[in-house]
Amino acid sequence: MRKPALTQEDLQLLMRFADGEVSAEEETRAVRMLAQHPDAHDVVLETMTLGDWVRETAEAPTLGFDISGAVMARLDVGEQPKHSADRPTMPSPATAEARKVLAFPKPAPLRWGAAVVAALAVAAGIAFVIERPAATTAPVAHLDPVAAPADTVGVAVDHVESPNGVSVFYLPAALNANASSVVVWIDDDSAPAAAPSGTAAVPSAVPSQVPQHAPGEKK
Amino acid sequence: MKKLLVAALGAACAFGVVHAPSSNGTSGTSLGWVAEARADAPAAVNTEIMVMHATQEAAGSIDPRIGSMPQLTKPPFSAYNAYKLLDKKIVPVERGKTASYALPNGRTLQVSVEPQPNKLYKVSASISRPEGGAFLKLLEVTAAPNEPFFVAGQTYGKGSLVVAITIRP
Repeated sequence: MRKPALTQEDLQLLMRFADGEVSAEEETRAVRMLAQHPDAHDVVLETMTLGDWVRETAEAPTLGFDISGAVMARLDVGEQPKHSADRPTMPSPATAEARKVLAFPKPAPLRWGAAVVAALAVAAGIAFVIERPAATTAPVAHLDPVAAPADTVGVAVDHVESPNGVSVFYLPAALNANASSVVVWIDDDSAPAAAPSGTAAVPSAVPSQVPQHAPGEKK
Repeated sequence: MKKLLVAALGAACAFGVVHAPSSNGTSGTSLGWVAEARADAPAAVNTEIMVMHATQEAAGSIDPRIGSMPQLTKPPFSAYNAYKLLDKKIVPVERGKTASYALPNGRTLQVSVEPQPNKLYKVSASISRPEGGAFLKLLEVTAAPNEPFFVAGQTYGKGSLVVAITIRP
């Protein structure tokens, strides 16, 4: 049979218990309530989580837009029991007793606490993705798909890989043509090869057919 | 009963192959379409390899044997004002194989060509050094027929080598 809902007085007691602001008699009541009432456990855990977050936020330097803060503010406004007006905004960290009690087996499945932890995890993940610094890149040794001009592309570079520096130029194929052609210019750091002297020597251009690389060996 | 099941499974597979959606949105079968494209494609693709020597001279000139190539008057080629044809060959590149071509600087150009279903050609090129290692490890382009692409920058004499590769189906 389900226990009756917590009263406003119970909630305030549990919150003060989580903040370490209870007398010995109130502490006994709070511990008894935790042992008997499933929702009491959640209220204390949530209050402690909020307290920890407030402390961390107050102590940490501002890092710009804080998604986790926005999520927690939303939780605080929409889903939390209202805090009393006289409740201190910076609770005392003396919550060891409450944490010890919460370490006991929980009488019912964790609902509020799990939601808060999940929300924090999601918010932290999103914040990490947003604030992650851009990856640095090594000097260009190869280029992957290069943006071509807007006009019709006669040739498009899909991949370039060279140990030397590579520049890719797109240029019109002809003065009156719309198609673009491509120049792949590779820096040559080797000694210049001797040019033929006198009449232009025709290189020995003997095409031959050799087996093609396996696809996996190409890149 | 087993035979019936096997027959039904076979029919289902055949139906799936025949009616598999085509990736480019055209009608027809995907496998059949590729098969048609491959059947249409020749066993070898004629690939023109033109090697030019670019230099800076007092009086600029373009070797008339090069033919009409207005690209040579535009950047980055306009860095040189003289172009001399060293060689021009049509090399039939068999599908699935690589054609090797000896460049005048002792390096070797290797080219392979794979026809694509959309009338384009996937061309792969590499240039290896005689002492080992690659000058151009891999260049992959998608080229329309009769549209040249250039690999330039190799030091040669007082100038540079320019290799123009054009698919001539």
